[in-house]
Amino acid sequence: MFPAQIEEYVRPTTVAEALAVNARYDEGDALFIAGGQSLMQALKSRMARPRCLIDLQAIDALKGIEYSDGVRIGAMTRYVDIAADERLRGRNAALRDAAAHVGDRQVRNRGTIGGSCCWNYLASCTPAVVLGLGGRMHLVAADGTRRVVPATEFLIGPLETARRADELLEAVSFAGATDRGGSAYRKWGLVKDALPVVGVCVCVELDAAGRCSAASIALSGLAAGAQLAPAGAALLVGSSGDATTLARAMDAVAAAVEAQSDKWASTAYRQQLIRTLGADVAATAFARATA
Amino acid sequence: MDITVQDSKRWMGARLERKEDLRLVTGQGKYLADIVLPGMLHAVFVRSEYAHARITGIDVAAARALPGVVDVITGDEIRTRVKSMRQPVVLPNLPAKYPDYHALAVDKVKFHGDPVAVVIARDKYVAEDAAELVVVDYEELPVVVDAEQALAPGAPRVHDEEADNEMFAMTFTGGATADEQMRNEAEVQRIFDTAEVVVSNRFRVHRTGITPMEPRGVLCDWSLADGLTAWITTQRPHIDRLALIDILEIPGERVRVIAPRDQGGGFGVKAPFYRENVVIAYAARKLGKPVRWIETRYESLMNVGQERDQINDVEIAATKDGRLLALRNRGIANNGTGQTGVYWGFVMPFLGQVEMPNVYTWEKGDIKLRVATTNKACLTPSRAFGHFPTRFAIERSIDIVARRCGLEPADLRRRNMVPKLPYTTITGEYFDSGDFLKVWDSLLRQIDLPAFRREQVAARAHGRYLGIGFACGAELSGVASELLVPMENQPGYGAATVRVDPRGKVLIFGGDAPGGQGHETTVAQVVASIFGIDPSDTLVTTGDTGATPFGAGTIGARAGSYFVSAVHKACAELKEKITHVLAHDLGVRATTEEFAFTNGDVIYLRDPSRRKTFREIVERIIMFPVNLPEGEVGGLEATAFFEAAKPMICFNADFCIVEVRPETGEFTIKRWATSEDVGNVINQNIVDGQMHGAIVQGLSNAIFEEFIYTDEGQQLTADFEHYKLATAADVPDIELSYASTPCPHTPLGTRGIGEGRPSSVPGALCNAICDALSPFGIEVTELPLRPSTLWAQIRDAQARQH
Repeated sequence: MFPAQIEEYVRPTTVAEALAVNARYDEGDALFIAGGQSLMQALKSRMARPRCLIDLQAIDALKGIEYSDGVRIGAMTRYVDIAADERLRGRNAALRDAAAHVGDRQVRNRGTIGGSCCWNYLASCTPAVVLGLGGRMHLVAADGTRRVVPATEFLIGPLETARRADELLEAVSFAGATDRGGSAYRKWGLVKDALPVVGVCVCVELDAAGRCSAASIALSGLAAGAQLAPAGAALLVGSSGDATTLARAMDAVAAAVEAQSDKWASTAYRQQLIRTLGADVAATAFARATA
Repeated sequence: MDITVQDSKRWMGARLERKEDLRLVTGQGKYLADIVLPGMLHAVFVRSEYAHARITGIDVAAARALPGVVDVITGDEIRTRVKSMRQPVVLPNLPAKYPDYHALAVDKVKFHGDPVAVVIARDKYVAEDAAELVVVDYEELPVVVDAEQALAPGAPRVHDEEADNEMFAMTFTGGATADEQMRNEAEVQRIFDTAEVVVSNRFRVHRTGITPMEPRGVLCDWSLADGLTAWITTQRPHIDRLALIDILEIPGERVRVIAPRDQGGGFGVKAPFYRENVVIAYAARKLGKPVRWIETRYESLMNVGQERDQINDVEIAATKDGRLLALRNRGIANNGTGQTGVYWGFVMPFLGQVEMPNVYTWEKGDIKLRVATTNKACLTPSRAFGHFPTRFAIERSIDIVARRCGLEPADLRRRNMVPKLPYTTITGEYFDSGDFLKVWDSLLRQIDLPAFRREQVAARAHGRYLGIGFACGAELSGVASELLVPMENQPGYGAATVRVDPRGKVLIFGGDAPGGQGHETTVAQVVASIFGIDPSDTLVTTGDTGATPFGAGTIGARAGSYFVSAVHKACAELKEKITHVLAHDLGVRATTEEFAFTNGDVIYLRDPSRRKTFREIVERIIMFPVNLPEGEVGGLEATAFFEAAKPMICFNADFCIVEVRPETGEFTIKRWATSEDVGNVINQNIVDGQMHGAIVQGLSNAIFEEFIYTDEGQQLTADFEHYKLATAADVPDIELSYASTPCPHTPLGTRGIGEGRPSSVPGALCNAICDALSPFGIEVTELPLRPSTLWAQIRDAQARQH
């Protein structure tokens, strides 16, 4: 459990500097390291063998949560800071639900939203929540080109994203608070705050009459990676979040997704967790929307 | 006068803060990995990727060529330079087919993780780089990982030299001869033939065990002058020393083993004698340089800490009014390769069967065990040694009998509990002392059972499933020679040297090697209470074979039983000498009892004005040995050995209350309460901590932890993402209570505690679950207890009921 040789370690203070170092290496030979909660394990097990590590810790521009029209969360913002930010409420409350239960205190003090999204591990919470809340990924390339990619396109599959080797994720942005938006996220794991065996994120928007005008459901823990469940979400639209509708929607989600069977849960059990956990999560999302 | 005497005893039972903790919580503990010697080299093992394969070639050329690599050693070299691991010093006196094996794999690898070669390099990074360059050619062989398949005719043989995979088999009941045993079997069968109630179940407990915070490690130094000095993470440095002497053929005066003062837990894992010790010692001798190996978590989870893994086919005959008549069991243990010194894997299931009858009064029993060799890592001892599966099986069976009889399981237990001690069980286990019924009744006083039953019925009407579960058990309090000689070829006595320092301090030396149990504090309290000094005026040294008396190790709850008793004995000897000299100096004729040792003074009770400080009198005896009583010589140091005449036990009982959510099979433990007989307590915090830790470990083993092998023998759980440990948030608050009886066989009335304690946990937990789910008729017979399994069982039951 000792890393293979790493030739260069840099700790830049600006995005431009980080990208410049990255550009000196062939694709994959330099890796950005954010909180290191996944990458360090990969390095120690030699699954990853970069020649250069570019540590993003000292780039202040990548940290913090800004509120204007929407919400912009710097890629290097830690879970602990997301979990503690009470301004993330209503339609963005799921971000806090997820961040507050990633791993343990030590992990939350180091781990970042950007790191998690770029690593895109199948059993992680953040990608699913970013997906469920319609997040947008802000990327910048070495030549200064910026582009914004919706999370749906960014999160390709387990350990795979649309980030190009010459790009750095600067921030993830979300729509701002609305009058009647609500979201929630919860996961099920064998032990407290473990990686999810399955997790459900629900985000709803209600109209003046309290009926759901827009909804999304996203899942974590499935073999194919973070994914949306549009069939179930469609069933929420038009409802006021009554128990029967929620159950029907989650039945549809459970039926539509491909849930793997492993030592932690059979396919049938994962589907059952989606139903029970999903209905609870959806109820919370509706309650937050009307709060 | 009484007040001062009481004063001197005030350290016994006190909740003294642990002397160890300041250094441990401020990062000043000194663990094996903190020991660095000049010029030290680093070792990394190359381990097998296959569970069973022939080694057809090992190419180490590329590894050797890497700059910084000093040596690469393979099994071929070890085989010709070092004796095999199967030496008498680490062989139990039990008839088993002990596999012969070398410190590195020779010819074949037999489990996923088997050490094939070792790289020695200037640093650990280079060593790992080189380990990747070692090319091992394998020819895969058929794999057997299932115990029953391993015992079936025609199964692939793990050890080529053996005719089959049955490593050990034993009958534990009926007598010593085959004739007696057959007669007994027939008598047991007759009881079953006519019994009103017969309950038969197959119980399976998965492979799980222990993961100490600090994995293993070895640092060996070789010099022409002193020979071998080996720092080993170990619970038994003196045994390791003997094994190194015999296997490496080094004269005994040239081998010293040191278990670091601070070790991050052992729990049994650091009790065997391991192959890595031999490899590192060999490398240090060969290269003439210090060599260190620190186990990675990955290696640790691949190689050690794996226990349980048993099937028990339990049958109970009873009367319909709930009297237990006979117990029959056919146990099968999955031993893995059996390649671990001292225990060879099977010693744990052996003891598990000895403890199978638990504390109940059976008329007769018929208990047999078969142990299968398989292509898994060898079982290693883990707290609740061997009887985690058998206790689960028996405590679950008792509840099933109670349900069949329509009786409250708590009542059935009490009715059949051994009423009076001493008592010898149907397997020959000796229960020396205590009062099981007192402990049990004390437990029952903590719950209004009829009220709970009413609440349970009311809750069910609202679709809520509450249940209560009980379990209890007697555990070894130390391991007597009577048991340890056959089981591990080692003596059971406790040993301690007590050296009084001329400055009035007391230094204690013990040959055992703790891993965080708090020996420094416990022993300090005992010594302080005997000599009337402050616990801070003591220093406990353990683990160094160059400084401590011979001891069999920190195993089987030996501290509170054997070690402190030896300390007490040595102190008593010194006390006698001190009072003898003091009486002489004061010009009085007085016995030891006529002096009080209190608050740093030694006081003549008949005239309390006549006294000396402890320091004055000990300094006088050690430094000024003139004008002594006739026949007395100076100096204050004594070594004592303690062994009780018979094995000793402690006892515990638990209940828990759970609520199960049928929609998902998830359950919540709403209460966990205990009643314990721990004998006289030296430090209540430490005793409480042992109980908390044991129960948490029992829960973690029962619910979360599981070593998983594929059919091909690939181990899938070599990291903590996959080998799940309970967190603090996963376990309930634990309500401890005590209903102790002082042990009459130890000088302080203390009992050794904490080792076997986890074993009652899975029974209590699963009994509560099954009680909650009794409307569905679900009986849990397999561990781990997972919500997913329960959910499937509930769903099936619901389907049957409709």
